[in-house]
Amino acid sequence: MSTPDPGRQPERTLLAWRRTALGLIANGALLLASGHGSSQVRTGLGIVVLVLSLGCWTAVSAVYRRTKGGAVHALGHQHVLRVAAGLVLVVGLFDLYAVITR
Amino acid sequence: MSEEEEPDYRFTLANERTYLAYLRTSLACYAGGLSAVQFLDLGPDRWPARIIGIVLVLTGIITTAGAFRRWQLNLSAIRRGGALPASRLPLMLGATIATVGLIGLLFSLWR
Repeated sequence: MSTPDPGRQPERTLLAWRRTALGLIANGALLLASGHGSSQVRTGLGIVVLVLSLGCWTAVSAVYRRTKGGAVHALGHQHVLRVAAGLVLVVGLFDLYAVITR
Repeated sequence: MSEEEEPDYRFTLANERTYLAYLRTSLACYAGGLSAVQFLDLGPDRWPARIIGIVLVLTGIITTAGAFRRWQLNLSAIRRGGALPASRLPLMLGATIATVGLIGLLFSLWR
C-alpha cells in the first residue's frame, strides 16, 4: 500500500492468524496429554495436530514476510481460509474422538 | 455481478479477523471439552464430564462451519455494498457456554 495505514491492519491480521495457530498448538498439547499412557491413538493424534499447527504458524509467517508492503490480501485468499476451517474441523473431530474414548 | 466490486482491503481484513476470532472460539471450546473429561471428576462413571465435553466439542465444530459461512456471507455483502447479514451464531455460542458453565457450577457445588 502506498498510503500509510494507521490501523496496522495487515499486521493485526497476521497476529490473529498466529493466535489461531497457538490455539491449535494448545489443542495438540491437550490431545497429547490426554493420550499419554492410556491411548497410543490419542498420543499419535496429538503429535499430528502439533506438527500441523507448527506448519500453520510457519506458513502464515512466511506468506506475510513475502507480501509485506505488497499485496495485503495475500493471507485472505478464499482457499487459505477454507484450509484453515478444514484444519480446525479435523482437530475438532480428533478432539471429539478423544472426549468419547476418554 | 456488475454491481460487485473489490472492497476496501481494510474491511476484508477485518472480516478475516472476525472469522479467525470465531475459529479461536471453536478451538477454546474443544480445549474446554477435552479439559472437562480430563480433569473433572464428577458423578458416577464421570458421565457429566463426558456429556459436557461432547457438547463443548460439538459446539466448536458447529462454530467452525458457521464461521466460514458467515465470512462468505459478510464478504459478498461488503462487495455488494449491502447490510451485513444477521447471524444466530453468537446467540447459540453464548447460550451453550452459559448453560455448560451453569451445569458445571451446579455439579461442583452439589458434590
